[in-house]
Amino acid sequence: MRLLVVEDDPVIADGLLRSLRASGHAVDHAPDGVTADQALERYPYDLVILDLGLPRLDGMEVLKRFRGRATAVPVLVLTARDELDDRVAGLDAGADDYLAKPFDLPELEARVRALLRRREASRNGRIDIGSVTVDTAGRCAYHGSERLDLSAREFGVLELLARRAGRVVSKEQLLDSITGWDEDVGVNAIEVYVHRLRRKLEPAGLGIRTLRGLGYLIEKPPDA
Amino acid sequence: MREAARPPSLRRGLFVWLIAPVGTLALVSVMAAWVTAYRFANQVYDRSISDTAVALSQLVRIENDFVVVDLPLQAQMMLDSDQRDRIYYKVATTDGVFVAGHRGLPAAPRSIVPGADPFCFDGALQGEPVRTAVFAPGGGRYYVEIAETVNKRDTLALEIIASMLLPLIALVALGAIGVWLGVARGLRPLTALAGDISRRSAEDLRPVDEAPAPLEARPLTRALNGLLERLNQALATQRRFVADAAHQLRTPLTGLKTQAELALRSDDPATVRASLRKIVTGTDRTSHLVNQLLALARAEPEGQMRMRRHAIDLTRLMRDVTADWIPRALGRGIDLGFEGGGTLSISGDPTLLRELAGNLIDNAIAHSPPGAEVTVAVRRHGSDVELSVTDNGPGVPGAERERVFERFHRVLGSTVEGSGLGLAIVRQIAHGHGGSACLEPGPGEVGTRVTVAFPLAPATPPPA
Repeated sequence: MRLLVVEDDPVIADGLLRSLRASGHAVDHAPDGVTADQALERYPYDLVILDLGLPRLDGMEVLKRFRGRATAVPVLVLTARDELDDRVAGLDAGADDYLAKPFDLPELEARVRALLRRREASRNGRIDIGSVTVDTAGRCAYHGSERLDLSAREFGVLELLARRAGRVVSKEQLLDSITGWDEDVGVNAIEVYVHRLRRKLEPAGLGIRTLRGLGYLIEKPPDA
Repeated sequence: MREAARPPSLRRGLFVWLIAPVGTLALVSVMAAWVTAYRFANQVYDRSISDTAVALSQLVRIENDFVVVDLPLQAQMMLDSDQRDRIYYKVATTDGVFVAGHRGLPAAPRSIVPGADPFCFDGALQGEPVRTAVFAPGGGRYYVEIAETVNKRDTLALEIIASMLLPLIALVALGAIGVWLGVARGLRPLTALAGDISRRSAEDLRPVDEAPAPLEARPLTRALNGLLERLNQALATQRRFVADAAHQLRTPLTGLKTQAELALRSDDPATVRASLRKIVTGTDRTSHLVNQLLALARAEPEGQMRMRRHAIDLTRLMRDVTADWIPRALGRGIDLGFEGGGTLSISGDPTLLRELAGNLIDNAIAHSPPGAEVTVAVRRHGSDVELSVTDNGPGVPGAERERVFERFHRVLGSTVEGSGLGLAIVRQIAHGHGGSACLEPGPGEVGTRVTVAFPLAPATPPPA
């Protein structure tokens, strides 16, 4: 994968480049906004890591111009923590994820992997969680090569949980994703689907956690 | 460009208040004096012309039914003797037939009664104002008139008016000088006070000396001293905080440096790795502390004044914040949950409220053993919305429950890493939102519950 790191601080940039190159990616470095803007225009990157506080051209402006060129390339924004309030708005400007400085390197690596995986999944419509593969195009799930026997609604619940693996999904969100306008399904029905799903996922070693008052979560399997 | 409004002036104000009544008084006095002075001058000189009229009447004889005037030279000279006024006379019969003297004198009024005292009236002779005395002797068929120009009378009247007016003018002038000097003198202590304050250095926050200030200016000096006192306290708190913060930062930095030096000195990869691992955790601690310091600065009252407040559904916001902390809780094997439902609005800044809740949840997770329960709850309590975070960890001893809200206070014997700022941030943000924060044991005297109460925003409809 070809990555672009846009970061003006040489120490942070050095750390990012070494870590990402060690993961086997081809990584370019742009130390300022103008260089970044030119590089993004010229080369087809698979992922961009963008610091917002940049010399010559502000990171937000770089992001806006990049999205103006209508690309689906994921962008991970880095920001100082006290800028976060204003900058979370950056997510609306087209960032796919953000990370506050100072960040943990393992955390950054995990986010990069997740973004690349999501890009992959959106390309082929498949989401992998542990040994389970969710085929969003074919609307079925596999444990290894064995197809799981799921109802349409059970699949809907699994799909949303899988798309947001590691994050909390509320009952209301699950309900919205599996029911149409005219269907009258209570929130309690979700508990039934989750209960059934749990039983069916058990052989694959995949658990759905109940979070008191919040909803459900499929735990991300430890990254390989 | 509009001219700037003039500031109010004590001196100008006093002048207006002094000059306006005294000036009016002077004007009324002059008018009254004018009338009085003329009456007085007439009284004095009317007697003289009346006497002359009576004297002249004795020189008139009736011969053969004719009225005859025999004016000796002496009498003629007496009439001309006055140096400042000219005196004219006329003798006429009561039928109006001119006998002697000056024809132009005004005719006697018809009401004239023979034998009565002479009386005087104003008139004019050849366009010049004159005062005329008329006398008709008893049983006579004639009357006598003496007319005199009014120069003497004018002079006397003017002298009387001047003698009344001059002290009045002097009084106004003296009053004006008095106001000018009095204001300058009265304000001198204030001018001295202003000089004293403007010469001060920014560090000198001693109270100003109230003693020389006039009684009327005491509220000002008292207010000034109150402000200086509060400023002093705020500065002292700030200084203590900066000193504490520097100390708190120096400690982990020293650790970092020590570990880095040890790693440089060692050839053993295992030792180097151990040092590097300590450097990573040390850096985490330092950056956490820096973040907390920044959060505290944002939560300062001055910072909160700039905050963007609007109506926020606390239930929804807190559910989101709790969900954000789930990965951290799962990582430590803690059951983090949420209780609450329905819309409960407060007026607040979502970023600061997230910060507040984050600190509470972080504390609860950090101080609870694996397997513990941490519950975030939002509920209505009277006219308040209460946010509480409850854990079933070891709890906080009674004596510490208030002190934990102080900056850099850490519970004695606690082994948990922390900045000692979390609850100070919580309380500051709560106060900034017009709320309060308190810490008590959880249900059944187990664990800890921190409750933050916010005033309910009026937008929330009352429960059905």
